[in-house]
Amino acid sequence: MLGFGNAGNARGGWFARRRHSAPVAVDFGRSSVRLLQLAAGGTAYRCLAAAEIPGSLLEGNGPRLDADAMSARIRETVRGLGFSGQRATATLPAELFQTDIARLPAMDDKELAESVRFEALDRFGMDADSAVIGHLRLGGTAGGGNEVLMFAVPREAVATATRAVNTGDTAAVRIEHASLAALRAATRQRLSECEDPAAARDYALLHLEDRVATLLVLREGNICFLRSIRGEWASAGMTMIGRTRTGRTMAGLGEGAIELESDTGDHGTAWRWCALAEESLRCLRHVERASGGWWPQEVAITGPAAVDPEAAATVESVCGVRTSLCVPIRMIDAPEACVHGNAWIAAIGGACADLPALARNPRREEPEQGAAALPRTSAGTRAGGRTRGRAAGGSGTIALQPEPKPLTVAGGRA
Amino acid sequence: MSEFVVDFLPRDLQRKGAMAASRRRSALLLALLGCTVVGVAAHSWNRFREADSRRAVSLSLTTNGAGIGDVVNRLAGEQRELRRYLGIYDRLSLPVEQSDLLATITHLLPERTSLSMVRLEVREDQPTKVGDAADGGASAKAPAPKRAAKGSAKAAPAKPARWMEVTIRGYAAGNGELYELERKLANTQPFESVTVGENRPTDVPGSKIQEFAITCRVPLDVRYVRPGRAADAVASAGEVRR
Repeated sequence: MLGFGNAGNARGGWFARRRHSAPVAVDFGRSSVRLLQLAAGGTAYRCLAAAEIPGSLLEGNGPRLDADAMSARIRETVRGLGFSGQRATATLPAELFQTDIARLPAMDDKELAESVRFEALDRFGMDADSAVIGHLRLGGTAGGGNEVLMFAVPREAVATATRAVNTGDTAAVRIEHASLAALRAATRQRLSECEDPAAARDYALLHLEDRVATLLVLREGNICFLRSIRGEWASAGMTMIGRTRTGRTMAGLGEGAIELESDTGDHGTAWRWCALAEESLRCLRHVERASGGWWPQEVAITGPAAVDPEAAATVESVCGVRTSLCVPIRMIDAPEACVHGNAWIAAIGGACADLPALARNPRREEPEQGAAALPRTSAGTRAGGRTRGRAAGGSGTIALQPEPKPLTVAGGRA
Repeated sequence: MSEFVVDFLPRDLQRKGAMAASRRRSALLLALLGCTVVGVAAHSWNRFREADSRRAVSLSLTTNGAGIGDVVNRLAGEQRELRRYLGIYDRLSLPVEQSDLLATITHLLPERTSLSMVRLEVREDQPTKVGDAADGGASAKAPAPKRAAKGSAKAAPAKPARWMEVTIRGYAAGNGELYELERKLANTQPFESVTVGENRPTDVPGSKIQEFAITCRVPLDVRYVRPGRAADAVASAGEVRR
């Protein structure tokens, strides 16, 4: 078990727990469970404690643990690494959920919940006693109806996660979709760091998990589209076992850095990302038709499987919109593995749900040397793919240079 | 502020978790209450034992100790002993040496006068109260020295006036020698209130002589300085006589 505990905030028993502390975020992944607790800060959240427990409740890359064993591990971690408070919020991976968008007549919230329940059970073919249904209003339609995003998750998965979280020291107060938590974190980061506030409200987030990629489109700060795309998105060399073998540790104490390159034997990466990009393009075109020509300003890629720079390059070249890996740099202060790891984005989103938004901390762009400032919108290159070099993103993103730069000769001749 | 929140935690599981947390909180509170009760009980037991020990000691002292009459008698005896010590001290620590007085009297004796007895007694007089002084109550007692009379006029309680009663008995060849002795004594300090108490002729073989008794007082509430000693060392004590 890897962990990061704030040394000055050791757990001193139940009396020392702060009553009004933020909840502990428990992110159930396919290879590990991540625990994170944040506190409000100015321009960055302050990390109170963080830990990563190898093993998963799901069949994944790491060892599988049952709910009782996982509960014991979580209890040990919470007691030993300075977590405070009893409340815990859990995020479940997107592969457990079934999602769909339904158009329903205008109705109040209570009626809408009942209608969504019947509609979801009908569409997903699930039993009412074995599923948990959730919904989210996407906005009104031209005919006066509502577009509703419906979620269905097996009740057994929710019960298992709840049993793992309810350790006696902690009690689950909320269970969320990991992509929505990631969207919350990314949006708060962009609202804090983007010079143009519109860039933080009109963008698309591609949350990559090992088996499911979730595309969320945000327009004027509200979700207008969600699509789960199934596939094998995990890079072969970036499993939990692989990461552990390369020496990755928490809190930046290890010798090995987080490798952003896939293994040499991972030859199918480009085809995977191409399929994902084409599916994303179809979704964006659907949104464009439905919204009368609106197009997101940027696609941010994040999630546990978002470690391959080829993914961003492929999506950008296929969709023709600026794409970047969204890394929570400057969003939390420590540990380094969280700051530089997209795998923690859902945990960060769950941990900051009850915290205030970050203060404005715009990231200044540095113009590229020897090149004129390029327009940031990519609408002109949408159809023809990427035709220009990348500029650094306006938010906390890492601008990639996957292609070799053209060689320049003195005198301006190539 | 919380965006994009869709809670998938069913009500029953949420209630179960809340109940578990509530049970844990109740257990902790019960443990705290138990610790408090045990602590208070232990503290009360200690206080009870301490009070019981004190009560036992007090009871033992009450049972085995002397009664109030014995205590009063013992205190009275101690007071008498103290007074006796103080009397002895007063006699031993006179401001004037008795040998000096005797030498002075002897020095003042005229010719053909002899002494048969000199008695020096220290006496004291309780200061008269204000009411007694107003109605002349002081007249019923022996005449107090001048300092006592002065002190009685003050509101502050005066110290008991002390003086030395000097009784001189002797024989003189005649009344002239007796009166000369009386005059010398009256004109010499520190003798005051010189009175010839007795004067009778006595026959002796071959002549007649006068047997006399003179009484006088020497106040003891003043400081006496031997001739030749500096007076400033004792000036603060009050009246200085040489």
